[in-house]
Amino acid sequence: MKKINFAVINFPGSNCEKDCFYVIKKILKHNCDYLWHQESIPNKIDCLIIPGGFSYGDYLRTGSIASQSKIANKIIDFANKGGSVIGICNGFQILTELKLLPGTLLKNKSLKFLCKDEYLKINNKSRFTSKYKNGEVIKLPIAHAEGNYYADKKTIKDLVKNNQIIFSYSREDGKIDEISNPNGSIMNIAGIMNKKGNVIGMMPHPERACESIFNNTMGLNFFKSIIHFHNI
Amino acid sequence: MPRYKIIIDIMPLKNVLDPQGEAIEISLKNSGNIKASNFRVGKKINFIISAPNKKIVDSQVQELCKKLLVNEVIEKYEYIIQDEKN
Repeated sequence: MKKINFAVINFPGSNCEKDCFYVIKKILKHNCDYLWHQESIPNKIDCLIIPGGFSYGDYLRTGSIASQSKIANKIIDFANKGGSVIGICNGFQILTELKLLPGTLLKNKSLKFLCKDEYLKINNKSRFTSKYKNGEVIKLPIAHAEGNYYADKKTIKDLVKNNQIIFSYSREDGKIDEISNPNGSIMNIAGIMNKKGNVIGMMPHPERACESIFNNTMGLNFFKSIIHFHNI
Repeated sequence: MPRYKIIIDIMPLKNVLDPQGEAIEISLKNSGNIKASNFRVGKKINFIISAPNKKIVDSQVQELCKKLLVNEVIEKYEYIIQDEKN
């Protein structure tokens, strides 16, 4: 298996970037670099990760200031050329502000910052989730104040039609309903990909569930899926 | 070059849930005879643009709104342009 080249982008206020780096480099033994938001993206990179956190203090709207940084157009070019892009939490918010993913993330319905484990039902028909079973239910941590996915009716219809909804908040048995919706997201959406299938945004944190010491390794297959994809 | 003061009001679109507005409404329910409802929370942004005339300022304000200041998926905006001296 060839080693895949990941890069984790850092903005002022990013966090979890070290968790992503650690999982890729130390647990999965693939290559990983950090990229500062004023740098270019090296040609060798296969997969970009935009990590969680509070880039630019969440000023104006979450992810909006980061979407104007020097690396922003380079992320868009990278995605347009088919490179794999993962946005986790604040990274998801940045990807919607970059218009690489449709819709946006509103404040949680409860107005509370949510930090807990959530069950997620998986659509495995993507390069990011192929190592899971279709319909599998996993548990991942969430930690956000603005994770309430919103898009207009037509966009939601398109997401459903094109199989772009990859993670949905569910009960442990996979039932998707209001009780299993932590933040008010339309259709319990926790993660979506673009139509082309090379850009994913998700609120849950797979990088925080990759080692047995955390009593949860359900996030590992997420990273293994993308490694598998780039080895085909 | 003339300087203009821009005042932009940004509000959530009608169909977008505004939990802050709802929270305010609930907290003000026990306000005696005052029947206040339909609270919506937005934001106001002020800044200065230097440009030859108001027409150019107008198109520049719209450009800035679309580029960064407003997310039209969830927000609408109105603005006024004043001479800075006023």
